[in-house]
Amino acid sequence: MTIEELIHEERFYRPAILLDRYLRRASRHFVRAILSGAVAILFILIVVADLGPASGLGPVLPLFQGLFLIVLAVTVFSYVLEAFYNSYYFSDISTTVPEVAWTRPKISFSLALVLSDAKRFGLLHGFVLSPVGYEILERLGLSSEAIAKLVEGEEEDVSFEVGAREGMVTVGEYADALLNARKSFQNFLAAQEVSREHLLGASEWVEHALASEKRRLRWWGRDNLLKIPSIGVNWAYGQIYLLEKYGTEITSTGLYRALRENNLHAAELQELELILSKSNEANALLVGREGVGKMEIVAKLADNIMKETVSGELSGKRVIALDPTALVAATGSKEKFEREFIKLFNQASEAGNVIAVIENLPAFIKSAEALGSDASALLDPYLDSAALQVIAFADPRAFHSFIEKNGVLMNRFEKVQVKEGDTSALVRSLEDGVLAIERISGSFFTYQALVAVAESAERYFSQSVPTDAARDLLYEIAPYMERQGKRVVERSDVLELVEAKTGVPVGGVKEKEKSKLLDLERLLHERIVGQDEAVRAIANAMRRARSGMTNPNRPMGSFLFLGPTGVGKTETTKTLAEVFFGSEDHILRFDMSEFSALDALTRLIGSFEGGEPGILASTLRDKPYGVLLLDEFEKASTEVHNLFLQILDEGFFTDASGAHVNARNTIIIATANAGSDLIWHYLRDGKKLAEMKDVIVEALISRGIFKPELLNRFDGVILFHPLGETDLKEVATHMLGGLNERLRAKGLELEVNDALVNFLVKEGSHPEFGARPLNRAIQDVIEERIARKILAGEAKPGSKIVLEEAELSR
Amino acid sequence: MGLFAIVPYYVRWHYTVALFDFYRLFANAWWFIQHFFSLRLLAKTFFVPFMRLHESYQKGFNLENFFGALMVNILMRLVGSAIRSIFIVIGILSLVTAILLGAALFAVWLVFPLLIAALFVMGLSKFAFL
Repeated sequence: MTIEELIHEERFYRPAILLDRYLRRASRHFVRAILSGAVAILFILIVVADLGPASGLGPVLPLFQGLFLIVLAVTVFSYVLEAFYNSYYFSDISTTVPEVAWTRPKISFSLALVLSDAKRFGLLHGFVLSPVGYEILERLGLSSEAIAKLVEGEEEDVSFEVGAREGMVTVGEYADALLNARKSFQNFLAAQEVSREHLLGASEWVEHALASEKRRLRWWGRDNLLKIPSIGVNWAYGQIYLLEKYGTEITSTGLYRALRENNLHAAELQELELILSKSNEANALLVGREGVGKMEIVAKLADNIMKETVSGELSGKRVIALDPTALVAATGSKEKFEREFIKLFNQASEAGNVIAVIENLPAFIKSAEALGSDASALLDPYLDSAALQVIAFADPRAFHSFIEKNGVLMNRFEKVQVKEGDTSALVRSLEDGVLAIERISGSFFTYQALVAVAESAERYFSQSVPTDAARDLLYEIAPYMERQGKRVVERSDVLELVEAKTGVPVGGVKEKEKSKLLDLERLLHERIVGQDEAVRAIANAMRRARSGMTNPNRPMGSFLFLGPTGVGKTETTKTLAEVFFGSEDHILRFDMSEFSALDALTRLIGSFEGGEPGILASTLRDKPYGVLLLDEFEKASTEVHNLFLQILDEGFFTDASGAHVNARNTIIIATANAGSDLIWHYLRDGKKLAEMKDVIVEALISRGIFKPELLNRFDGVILFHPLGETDLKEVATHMLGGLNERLRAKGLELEVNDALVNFLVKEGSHPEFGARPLNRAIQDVIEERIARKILAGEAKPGSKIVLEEAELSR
Repeated sequence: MGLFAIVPYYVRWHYTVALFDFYRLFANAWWFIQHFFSLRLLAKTFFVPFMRLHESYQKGFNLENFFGALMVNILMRLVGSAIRSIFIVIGILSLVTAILLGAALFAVWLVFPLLIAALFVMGLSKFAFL
């Protein structure tokens, strides 16, 4: 629609907009309350005055009567005036249950308000100055000063078209078109670090909140009237005392009340309704990760039944969630449990309108097993009958390891796979909750903060249910902000809290990490000798990864270190762990030479048949943050390489039970000695390693050691060259420095001179093992000589130990 | 004053849009009464035993037991029908009331501007007695 067409549509709402402009909704409400009070008081005065001479008010009775009639007229008119306003105000809301004689306008009421201001102040300025537009900008974290700057000066006079996604044009779509058409708006938002997605998300949030409030206020709408329970519905059906004792009606839960209109899991809901509408064996098994929204799907089903928008077969059904734990706990013994179970399900079957929900079917069967009872056999006759329907839940792991093997259950249930929602779905599901927290705490969340909560819940708390982790964060952020003395919750505040909770440097690069990244070469060189090219390549790749230029849905960084033994590959890994995670303890080390056999993949991701968790899956679940070090990566089997192909690409993998394991909060470092011969060869020929990198990588591919697609997945393939004499001397000096520190604790000091360093390099270096034998030489020779001196009384606290060349070579 | 610009809008609304709104409101009320008293369901399940309470027929033929169970089951169906009848009647009465009330309100709505004016004039006329 063109702007002219939109403005034409705005005329539909003009009466309400005009009324709002001169007398705001809140003021009208106040006036009505005063008038109603006056009518009541005047009525009482008339009654009292009419009592006769005793009241003493007889002479002024006509005055009261006159005033009463006038005030009554004004009051009644004020109510009708509000009906006049509401007629337009509520005309744009969507309802689940259709209502008659309702022609919906082509634009939303909020957009009409924006357009009304746009006519007066310009298309951009009108948006900014309108109450809805202003609230959207506030939700984007823009200060009033910043917003004021946006309306400074003349606005360019360029018209544009606005596209509607779902029939009615909304403020979000107007803002989107405005952003396309106004360069100044684009530049302004870019300068404030606000993206198009943020603008659209915040617009949708603000409009959704307004729509929810409207739906709540419109009590005469069918959606609200349906919430009043009907009389006599249950007379046609039997009583279910036991199910009521051990269960909860879905429509009376908080989850149901908090249910909001969205298209989340619409496909799964449709599938569920189809399954339950069957004439026989109409039972469904919802399989999905914990927290993915299985109960929400069931609540939506209950809502559809309530609103009578389901097929006739489901009409009048009651959806009741059984609490199996309560049932098992209350009975305690096999006999009692089975008796109560059969009684409960008989009752539910006879009632004829029950859809029983068993939240964690595998856990229920297992807890019954603990009593010695076979719950699946007990359940079977009911699952077979048309009188009772069951919806059961299972997570993918338990489904594969437990239910899939049970032929009886598999026959009785139809599986509905519940897909994971994306971050935007999680954001939408949090929006209402945030408003409630704001009302309690007085804080104000920006949209970016809300997105940060959702992203952090998914990325940094992957071991928890994302919705739960996100809600926990929301509840924790309010007191956190109170302690900081701040009201407006921004993205950085959320990330700070997440960092404080996890210890992981999250989100954007902050000052501390910025300086580390800019100075990464020096920090790495504090512990790594030589390897200038390798250090530079790692530092560049880490800077790219941490500055947000790389895909966030991948590990924090991933490198393949190639080179001979003892040249600093492991030391580099340790340094990265210390720089990015604060300590070497955050290294998750795997010797990949142990994963070359046929069972390698099973050992890493777990066994479906054995029900055992995989070692890689368990490690990453226990420690989701750190450096994942894969030593001797070339020796791992092809299946293992293929597994890492996915991990490097997507940042997660699926274990044997079908559960996701997150590796996005790790730096993955694979080391390999493969190609060392070529490194030696080219160095001997006097070639520069950096120039030969492609040749070496090609050779690794042609030898079948690594697939090209695997090598391409790494952020960097880093070549480590063998250490030269100068490098080895530096390493030796470093190591002797370490020894000296230990000696200083005993009051001793070792003199580190050229003779000692030269001796150590001569004794402790090996072309094949690099600097690795240096440590052994220090232990075997230096420490041994010092020990002798200490025992002989030649080295006393406060003295300096000097080891002569002759003494060393003895 | 700008506020008076609303007057023509109001007048037009009162005799056009508002009539549709009135119809929608009445339809909602009509629909709600039917839903609240579950009229359709009660009619459909008119002879179903109340709360599905019933006596099961025992295995093996025993005249006394058979007729005993039959009597109880007929009784439960009669009880169910009687209770349902009461609520169906109340529901129908509510629908009739809604029609009467709706018609009265509609009539009032049509003359509402005159009514307000009349109230105003009557109120002012009271001051003449002072």
